[in-house]
Amino acid sequence: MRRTRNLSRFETTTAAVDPISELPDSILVHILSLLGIEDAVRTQVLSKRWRFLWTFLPSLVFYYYESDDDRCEGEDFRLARNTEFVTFVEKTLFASNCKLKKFEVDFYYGPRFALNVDSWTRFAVGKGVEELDLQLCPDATDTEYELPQLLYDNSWFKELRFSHCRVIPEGNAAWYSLKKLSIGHVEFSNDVIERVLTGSPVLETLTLESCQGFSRLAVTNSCVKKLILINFHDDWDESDDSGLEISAPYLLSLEMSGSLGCNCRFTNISSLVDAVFNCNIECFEEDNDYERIRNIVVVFLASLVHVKNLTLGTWAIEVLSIMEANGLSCPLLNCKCLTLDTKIDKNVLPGIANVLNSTPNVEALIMTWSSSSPWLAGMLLDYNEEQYWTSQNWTYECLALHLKNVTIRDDLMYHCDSNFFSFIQFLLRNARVLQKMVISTPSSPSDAQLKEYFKAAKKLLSFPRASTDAAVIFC
Amino acid sequence: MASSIENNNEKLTLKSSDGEEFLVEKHVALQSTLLQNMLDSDCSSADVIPLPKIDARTLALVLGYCKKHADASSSKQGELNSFDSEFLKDMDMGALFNLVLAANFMEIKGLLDIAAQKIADTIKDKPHQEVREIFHVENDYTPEEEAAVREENRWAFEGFP
Repeated sequence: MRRTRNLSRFETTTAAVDPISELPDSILVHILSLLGIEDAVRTQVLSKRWRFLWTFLPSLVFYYYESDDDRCEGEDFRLARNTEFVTFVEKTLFASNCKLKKFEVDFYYGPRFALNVDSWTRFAVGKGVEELDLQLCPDATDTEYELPQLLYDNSWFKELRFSHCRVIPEGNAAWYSLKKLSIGHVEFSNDVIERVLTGSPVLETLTLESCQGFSRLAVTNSCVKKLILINFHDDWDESDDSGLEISAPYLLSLEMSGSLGCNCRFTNISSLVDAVFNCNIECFEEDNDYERIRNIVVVFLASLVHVKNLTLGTWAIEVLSIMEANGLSCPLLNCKCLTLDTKIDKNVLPGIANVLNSTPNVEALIMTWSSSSPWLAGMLLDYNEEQYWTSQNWTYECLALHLKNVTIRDDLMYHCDSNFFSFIQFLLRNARVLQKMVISTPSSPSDAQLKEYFKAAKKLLSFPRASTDAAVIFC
Repeated sequence: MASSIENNNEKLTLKSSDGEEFLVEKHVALQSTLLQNMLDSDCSSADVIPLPKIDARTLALVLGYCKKHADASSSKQGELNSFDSEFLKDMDMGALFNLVLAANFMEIKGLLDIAAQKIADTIKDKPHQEVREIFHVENDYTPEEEAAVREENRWAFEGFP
């Protein structure tokens, strides 16, 4: 019977043998694909066996970030570095010997590279690329790259991401396989975004980051299930407060983060199941601005009344805090799962009380830690935070009847203070049907952190529980 | 024949290149796409499935991995991750190469990925001279050829001797 060579035994007996080079090409290319492109290309010098292996990489990802040392050098040096990077991208890309799955490039773009980027995209498209990512932050000049027309008509694309580009399609886009589209720092008109969406019939996820120029976003494709909106800034025009109008009747999931420079209204989001409201709305330095903000938040939350899983960020909870202090309730919400993405501090306690009061059906409460800076610094709420939860005899419908699970995630336990503990104590004392409170254990903590963690855990376990079935689980 | 498989169903026997037999529960074997396809197409009616490319020591490791992953519920991802990193810790390169070959042959994607990642981590950020030493790669370039290859992609060699 023919025996396969046992390579490990070989290695110990004959040092000359080269087991890694005997692995089949497919495995070696797989290993190279797990390296950064520079590391992968460098293996060509190991031996002749490795000379062309990297040219079979299906994904080519190029990043160029200036180091601090680079930044201290003069303009000429930086221009030269940028040019060297472009040469590297060009040589590596054009040496590719296989169908490309992914091509990504992220560098400081200047107009002198327009022809280079044109030729890269043309080459990648010719190789049947399915995932194209162009992050072209402009260098000293302000001229942005204009997407070539050939990119608008491509049925291979499954994922397309670009930022800092000019988007001027001559006709409708024709992206018949496109599932994910992510656009950053692009200004486009209502008409252009409409033509892009019309040409993407199977699109599932749309991300718009720091885009501007449009006032209407009608996502009527029934495939689009997820919309992520990060920062939106209208051209500053205070007389026109029309803001952004979003209609997406088939959308299941909406995430909003960053800052919104204008009002944002939803005309139809009737299918929505998940919503993340983790953005803030820019304020003017005017005394009556709080009222404007409050109105926007109330209208915004009211449009999320039917959402099942709702996440609220620090800023939204802070607005609800001021409302609570003024005796104004949060709109009634039907969510079953509520996530509070915030630090538990003085600015948010009344807001949490406000939202618990308006979410009678909540069965699961998730707490995650957000480091966002306090917005309310200038208008601190005046109350005794130590006794906030004990001083008042509220009854919350969700705590009395529905809340079964509480999850404390991430490194929240590292940041726990008396406000955190009194809130947990309050929950355990009032959640009558609670089944479990799950607290994630920190990943790879230091000894000191672990000590703190055990101390906190001991304290949590000592709190009385209204539900005899409630288990506190550390996992 | 089909009925006989169903009877002694939940187990099957794998035979390593050096003749050792391993009795394996079916749900554990299903971690391997190769074995799954064999079971689906009924090729497994034979009592023993020979794996002529995998020695006993490697096969035992592979099956240990499969058992852990088959038995763990999906909710225990954290536990599986720490098992995975422990699993390859302190493994010598020879055993790792055998493992990556076995995972490739038996089509066990998770195992192939972690083993390949471990090899990649060894190459990462190291000068090629050191990589050559670690893996005993014999340099068959002449000095002139090597210099020419380096020159072609100067950017990638920046900061390396």
